[in-house]
Amino acid sequence: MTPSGASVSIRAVAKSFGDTAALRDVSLELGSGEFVSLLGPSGCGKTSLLRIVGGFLEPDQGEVWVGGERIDGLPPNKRPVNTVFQSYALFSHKTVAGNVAFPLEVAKVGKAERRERVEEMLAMVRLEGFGERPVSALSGGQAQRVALARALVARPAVLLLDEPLAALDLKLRKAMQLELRRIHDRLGTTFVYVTHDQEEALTMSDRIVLMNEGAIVQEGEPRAIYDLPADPFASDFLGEANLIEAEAAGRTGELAVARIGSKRILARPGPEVPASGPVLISLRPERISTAPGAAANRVPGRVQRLVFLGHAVRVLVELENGAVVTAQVSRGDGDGLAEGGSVELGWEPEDAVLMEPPAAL
Amino acid sequence: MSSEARARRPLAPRLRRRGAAAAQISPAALFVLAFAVAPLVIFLLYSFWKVSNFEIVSEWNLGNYSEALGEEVYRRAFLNTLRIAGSAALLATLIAYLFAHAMRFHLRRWQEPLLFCVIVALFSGYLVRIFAWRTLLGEHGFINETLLSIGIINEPLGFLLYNRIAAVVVLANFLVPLAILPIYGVLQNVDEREVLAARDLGCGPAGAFRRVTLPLAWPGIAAALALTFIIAAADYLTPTLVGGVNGTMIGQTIATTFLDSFDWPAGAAISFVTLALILLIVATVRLLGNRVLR
Repeated sequence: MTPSGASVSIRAVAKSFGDTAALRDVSLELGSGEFVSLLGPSGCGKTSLLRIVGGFLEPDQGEVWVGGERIDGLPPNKRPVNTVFQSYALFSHKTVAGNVAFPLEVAKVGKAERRERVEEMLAMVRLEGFGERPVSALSGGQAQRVALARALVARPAVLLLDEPLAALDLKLRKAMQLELRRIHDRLGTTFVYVTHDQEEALTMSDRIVLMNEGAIVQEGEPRAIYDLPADPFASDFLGEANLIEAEAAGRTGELAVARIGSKRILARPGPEVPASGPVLISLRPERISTAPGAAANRVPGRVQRLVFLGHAVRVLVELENGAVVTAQVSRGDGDGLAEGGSVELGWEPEDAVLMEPPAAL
Repeated sequence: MSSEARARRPLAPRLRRRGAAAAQISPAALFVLAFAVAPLVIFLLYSFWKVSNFEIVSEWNLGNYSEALGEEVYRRAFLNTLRIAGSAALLATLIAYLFAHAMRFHLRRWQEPLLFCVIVALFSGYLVRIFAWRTLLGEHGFINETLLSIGIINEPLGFLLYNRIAAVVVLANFLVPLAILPIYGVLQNVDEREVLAARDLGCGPAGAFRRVTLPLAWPGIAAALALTFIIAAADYLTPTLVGGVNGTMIGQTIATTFLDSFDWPAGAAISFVTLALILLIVATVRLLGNRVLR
C-alpha cells in the first residue's frame, strides 16, 4: 500500500465574513507528501483556509488546486481530501470498525476488502482489537486515532488536520505528535496541519506557514523561521523572543548596525529593515549569555530577578535604557548571579535579528 | 469496569441506593398501578367472562376472543383502523420530521417561536379542530364555496368529507404537533459535525442524510410513529364525525359495544385484541428500523 500525496496549490484566496476579512489574498504551494503546519493565533484564518481546501467553505476569490485538478466549487465528497476534525466527529451510532469502514462503504468497496483495510488501518493507529467497541467507550486519545484511521482509510491524496490534538493532555499530545509523523512518513500523504501550538508545529512539520490576521506572515522550515523570524509577530509567536528597542545605524557587510542606548551592536538584518530610525532587535533568551567572554555584542545591565527552572535559570536583566531582557542560561552561569547585582549580557550577531517595528508603535 | 470489580463493591451502599430509588419512583408507580394497571387487569378478567340477562357473570370462556378475531365486522374494522391510523401516523410523522428538521438545522433563529406555536397547537381543542375541518371540507364548506364562487366547479364536491381520506387528514393534522416533540428532542442532540464528516468522507447530501442523520434521528421518529399510531388507532371521534361509512374504526366498534350493547366482556376482548395488534405493529416497525438504519 503506497498511496502517495498530491500537491496543493492555493491561489490568491480571499474570504470575508460580513465586514471581517478572514483571509486576504492568500497564496500557498504545498509539495506532494509534504507535512505543512498552518500556525497562528485563533482568528488568524488558518481554520478558514483548511475549510476552504476541505470544501466546507467557499472562497470569495481565488482558486484551490489539488494534484493538477481545480477543486474549489466542488462539494466535499468530490474532493480527494479528507479531514480529521477537532471534535473528531465520530459517528456515534457506529462501532469503531463501523466508523473506519464508513468511507469504504460509501465508495462501495467489497466486504472482504473492506474488512482487510479496516484491520490494516486499526493496526496502523495501534487500535487492534478495538473494532467492535462503541465509540462512546473510547478515551480521547483513542477517539483521535479512530478519527485518523477513518480519514485515511480511503487513501486521500491530502489529509487535513484541524487541531486534532488540542483536546488531549500534554503527555498524550507529545506521544501523538510523534505517532502522526510516523504515519505521515509511512503513507506519504500530504498533511496540512492546523494548530495554534508552536511547539507542535516545530516538532512535526517539514514546513511551517505562519499566519496572522488573515495573511501569511512567513513560511519556511521550522529552523529557518525560528532562527530568522520575518517580523516581531513571527519572533514572538514562534518560540520566545526579546524585542529590544534600538536605533538603526547603517550596515557593515552582511550585518546591520544598531545602538541600544550608548552600546553599538551587530545583528542580522531582517527583510525591509530601515537603515536608520527606530528598530527592534529580536533575540531568543537561550542565545544570551551572562558570561559573554569574547562575544561580539556586549551590553551591561542589572539583574532584576532570577527564576530557577531546574535544568536552567532565567535571568531578567534591566538594561541602561530601561528595557528588560530575559536570558535563559545554564545552572553553571546562573548560579553565580545575584538579584540586584550588575551583569554583562553577550550574544553573537547571527543570533539577533533586526526588524522594523510594527506600525502601531 | 469489569463485572468482577462490580461484584466486589460492598453490598450495603448499593442497597441504600436502591432504597432511595424505590422511594423516588413509588408515587408514580402507585398512581399507575391504581389507575392504569388495575382497570386493565379487571377488564382482562371481564374479557374471559360473559353477559347474561344484562349482567356480567364470571363464567370463564374464550367466546369473546373467538368472536373478536373471527367476525367479519370486527375484521373489517381492524383492517380499516390499521389503514387509517397507519396512514395518519405516517403522514403526521413525515410532516413533523420535515418541520423539526427545518427548525433544528435551517431556522435556528426561529426555534423558540416555532416551538411555542407547536405547543399552542398541541393544546388547542380536539373537537374544535374536527369541526373546523368539517367547515373547511363540508358541502357548504370553505373549499367548496370558494371553488364555486370562482367558477372552477359547478356543484359542491362531495368526496371531501365522510371518507377514509378525510379521517386520515383530520387525524394527521391533530397528530403533527405530538410527533414533532420527540423528533425535535432527538434532533437537538444530533451533532451537525457528524453530518459534515459524512460529507467529507464521500457522501452526497442524500447519502449523509440516509447514513448519519436518519439513523441518529430514528429513536425520535420511532417514538413519534408509535405515539401517533397508538393515538390514531384508539380514536373514535374523528372517524365518527368525518369518516363516513367506509371509515369505521375499531374504536367506534368498541365504544358501541360498551355503551350501546352494554357487552363489557366482548368490548374488553376486542380492546385487548386491538392492544396486542398495536403493540405487535409498533414493535415490528421499531425492530425493522433498527435493522435497516444502522
